[in-house]
Amino acid sequence: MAVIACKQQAQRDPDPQGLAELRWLTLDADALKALGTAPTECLVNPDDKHTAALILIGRTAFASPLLLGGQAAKSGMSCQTCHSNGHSNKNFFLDGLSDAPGTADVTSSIFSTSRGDGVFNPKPIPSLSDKNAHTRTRDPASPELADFLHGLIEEEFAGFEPEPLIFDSVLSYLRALDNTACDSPIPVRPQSLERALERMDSATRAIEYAMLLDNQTQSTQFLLAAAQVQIGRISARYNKPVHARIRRDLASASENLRVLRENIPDAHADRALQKWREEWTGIQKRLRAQEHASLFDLSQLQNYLQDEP
Amino acid sequence: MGNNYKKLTTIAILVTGLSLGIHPAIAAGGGGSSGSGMPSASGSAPAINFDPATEYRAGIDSLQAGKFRDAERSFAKVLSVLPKDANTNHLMGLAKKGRGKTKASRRYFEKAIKYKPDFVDAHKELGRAYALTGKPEKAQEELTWFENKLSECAQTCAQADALTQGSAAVTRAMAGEDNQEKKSGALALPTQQGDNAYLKAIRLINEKRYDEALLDLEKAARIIGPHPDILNYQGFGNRKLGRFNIAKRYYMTALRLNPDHLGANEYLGELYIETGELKKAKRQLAKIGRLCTFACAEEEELKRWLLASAQ
Repeated sequence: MAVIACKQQAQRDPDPQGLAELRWLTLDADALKALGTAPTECLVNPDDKHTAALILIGRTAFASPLLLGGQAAKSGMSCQTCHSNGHSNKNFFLDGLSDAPGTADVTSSIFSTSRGDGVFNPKPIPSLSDKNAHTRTRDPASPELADFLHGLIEEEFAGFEPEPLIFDSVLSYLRALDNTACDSPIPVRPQSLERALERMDSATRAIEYAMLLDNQTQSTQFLLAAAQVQIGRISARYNKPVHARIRRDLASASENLRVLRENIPDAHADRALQKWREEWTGIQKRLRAQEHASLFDLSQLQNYLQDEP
Repeated sequence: MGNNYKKLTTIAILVTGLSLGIHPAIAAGGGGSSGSGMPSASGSAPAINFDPATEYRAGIDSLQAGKFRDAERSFAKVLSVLPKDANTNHLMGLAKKGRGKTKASRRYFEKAIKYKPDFVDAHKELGRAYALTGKPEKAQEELTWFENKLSECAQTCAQADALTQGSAAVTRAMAGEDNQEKKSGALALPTQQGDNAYLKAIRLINEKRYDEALLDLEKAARIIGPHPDILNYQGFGNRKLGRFNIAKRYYMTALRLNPDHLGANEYLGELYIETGELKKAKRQLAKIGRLCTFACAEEEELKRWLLASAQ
């Protein structure tokens, strides 16, 4: 684990790559609203700790492009892209896949190697939290949702079969999504730094849970990579030259997760993760101190969107 | 409807996932010798500090506007870094012809054909240029080429119409009836059609229809210009058809334009695995690891390929 400490030096400044979410917006979309706010994630509290842990892992996987495969994953798409916090992303649009914002052709060969039907037939993206809109039962006793999810990941998006822990966790997360857990109408909240950090905390706790379970090596590696992606999302919001140092810190934190990932299985991985969390605490403080100048700040985001070519 | 909603070109979204722009200060990448029908970086390639695809499009715009000197400048700039790009050579020939330098245009049409032997429009222009510059026997060779191709294709191949029109154009020129029209097929096509061809090619690749996909990628390349995303998929299509050398040259050219191109780096690594060059594949994986600061699918996929090759 000494490797982690060594890796904290000589990080190049990762150039800010812009906000990935802009890729899925139309010119006439309200970009400030789409990138600055999000509907509240409505999750039913589980009855037991194990299910809570699975939901945490599933939530992290849901937001990771690495759960999907092929072009979708390479372009940065995750389940979260179309289903913002489990709801329908009414702004999603991709030329060739959508005919209006909030629609997608799930039988297109653009992403799928086996489900293409040769017909351009986009459908409205459904909310996964709206029980009334569910066409498949969430009953754990039924294989219906699992069959659907396998088909979606492995056929619709040409992805690899997920590790059982990851797959079961995504199922648990989907089953926990429920609008009745939120006020009506569903509150819309700012996409603040605190929310991004909360997701990061969620990801690291998911990693801890995965580590606790025996023989879950690849699941842990998957979640470590998912946490790296989440750090990247935070980094993209610190896009100014003045943020160069914080971007280097974030790149270093991500690199250290990579080292941890590559060293797994490692009997001391839990200690290494603990050490990483201490480092992350320091970075969080610096992130908060500069939040006002980042794209988590709505006025900064507005200026950025005005300047964005 | 799609056009109204268009935010970024699909090409940028679907492959790079980052930006359409070319890496700003690119050191000379992998070279590679000339290949059939494809652009190729030369051995002692200079650094590229501009976007050849943007320059290519600027050249087309100038050509369409009848600003042939400007077009020449743009195409010369592209050819200075990609001298074996068949499409740019063809367009440079058109620019020369537009300036009344029909004899000088021949050299570029000849090069276009050298690097892409079945380039129908280049054969057409070359045949016309020969006829107009007192080389009837050479024009006849081009006409014979068209006749042979038409015979092979039996009027049913995808290029049947283009071949028929090309043959007729050379015949008219040889008869002294050339109307001197200066636009090529590509010039009449807006960028959107390049995007559409690219998108169609991705669909066809996912359906494992590689031959057809390569035709659409070629169409996209003619409209959009030398772009690493298109080159990368041209490499992929050829690789899937077992043409490893050609595929490698496409990947190398893509990486010359953008050494950090994740897709080309990944697919080149996969090619190395397929050709048993595992050390090189591992080097590609290490490079992608350095590029993917925040983890990426390209790294994960190449890792899986390497794991599978070890089993």
